[in-house]
Amino acid sequence: MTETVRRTIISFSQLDQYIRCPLKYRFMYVDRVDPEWIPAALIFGRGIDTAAAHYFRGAQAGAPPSLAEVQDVFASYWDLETSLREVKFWKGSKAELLDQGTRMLAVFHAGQDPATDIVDVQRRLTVPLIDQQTGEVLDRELVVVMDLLERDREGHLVVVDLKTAGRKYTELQVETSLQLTVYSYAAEMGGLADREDVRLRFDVLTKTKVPELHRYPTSRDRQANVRLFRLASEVLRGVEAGVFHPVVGWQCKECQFRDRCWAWA
Amino acid sequence: MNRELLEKPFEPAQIRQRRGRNGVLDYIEGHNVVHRLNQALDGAWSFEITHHEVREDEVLVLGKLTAEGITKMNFGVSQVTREKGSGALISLGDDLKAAATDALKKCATFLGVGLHLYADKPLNGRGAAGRGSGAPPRPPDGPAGPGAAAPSPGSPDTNGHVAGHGEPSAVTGRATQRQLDTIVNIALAKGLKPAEIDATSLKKFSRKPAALSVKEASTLIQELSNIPRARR
Repeated sequence: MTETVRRTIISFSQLDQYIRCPLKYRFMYVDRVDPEWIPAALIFGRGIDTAAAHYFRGAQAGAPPSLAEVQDVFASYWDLETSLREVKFWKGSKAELLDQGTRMLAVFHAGQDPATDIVDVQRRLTVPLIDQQTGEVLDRELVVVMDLLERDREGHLVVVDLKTAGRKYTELQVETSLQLTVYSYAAEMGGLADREDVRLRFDVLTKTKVPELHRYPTSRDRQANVRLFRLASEVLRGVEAGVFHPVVGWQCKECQFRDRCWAWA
Repeated sequence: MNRELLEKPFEPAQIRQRRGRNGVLDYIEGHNVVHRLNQALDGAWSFEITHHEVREDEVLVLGKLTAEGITKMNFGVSQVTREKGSGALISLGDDLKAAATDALKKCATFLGVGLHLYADKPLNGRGAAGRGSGAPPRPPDGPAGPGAAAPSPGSPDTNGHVAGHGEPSAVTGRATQRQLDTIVNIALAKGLKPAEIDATSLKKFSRKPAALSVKEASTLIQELSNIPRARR
């Protein structure tokens, strides 16, 4: 479907990117610079997401795909994406990462319960950004895409995001995750469920030697929604004012815009 | 030329609002301007585009409005619409039409059409800074056509005002279009029917949403955003 850039929206990815590095936000969303290369980790994560979505869609239709089929989706995606683009590999070669992804998906597949009530897969929502304390509305609507929506035994809606990570998540990571806050808010404002009925969960597949699947359930309260509004408001204020400074840190190592960033100085 | 009719203020229902670089702006839709010109000039007017330019992110046209031997010229602009992701052009023709409508409205302003919209407004902010005291009044920055809207976060016009809606219009103080859209969207998401939206507004403010002030609309939005979904 065609969507014009005139729509006044901001995505979770844009919010997150501005918070992580405003200058990279500018390169990506204002200047729209085409990166010369793609980090392998990005394609890897998308490949796992694509394979998992294939599994969830099949399970939703009552026919969960076999492990071999899920791994095949990943392998095809991996082969295609790494062939078409200039990819930079840091941790492992193309073949090694294919092997790692295959092993991770075996753990993923073994960790799924075919009886899970799957409500939707990769659900896209566009919701207004409202301050629930004052009724103020931002001029941008918030767009999110949720990996997976489940219904638990108590009838709660569970919004799940599948992650690949080098190690287990900490409690702090889960409790402060902006992404889960955004999902909770969007599920409520999009009319999917009342806030009290929304559960959130990170499913983290570790990229360790022996991959593991960890599930981290959590939830959010109204105050988290208010805080999200204020955060979004400040980010948009920064974008409006043209504040695009670099944030230097660990993320610079695999940044596609590193050369351009140094040149900016 | 019926100047009285040309300069007659538009009805509140004909005045739309959007966010512009200098806050909330009132504007009149193109078809209302055409209707006003037809009425006041008995249809005896012509409009032509004498020049157009297609730039990377916007199109610009120079319009010429002629009536009873008098000519008014002004520029009109519109953003170039592109497909999200690929960035491919969607319809340059539509973008040019939108810019032409913008130019027509700005030319008509010189004849007095819609001039009241900024009669009470101070010329402030970045827009005014570069014009100087001798410059002609700047017509409102309303969208050029029905489909026009503010730019997306990724567009080069990102530095336009984007955050917040709370400022009342300098002219009317009425609820903004964004607020009205939000009231409808959030109410529907919460399971209310359109009639129930009006009923909720009437019960609380004795007015339908379209007649609410900015502050009242905020209160209604705040309440709607906090209610549980209707169980049917």
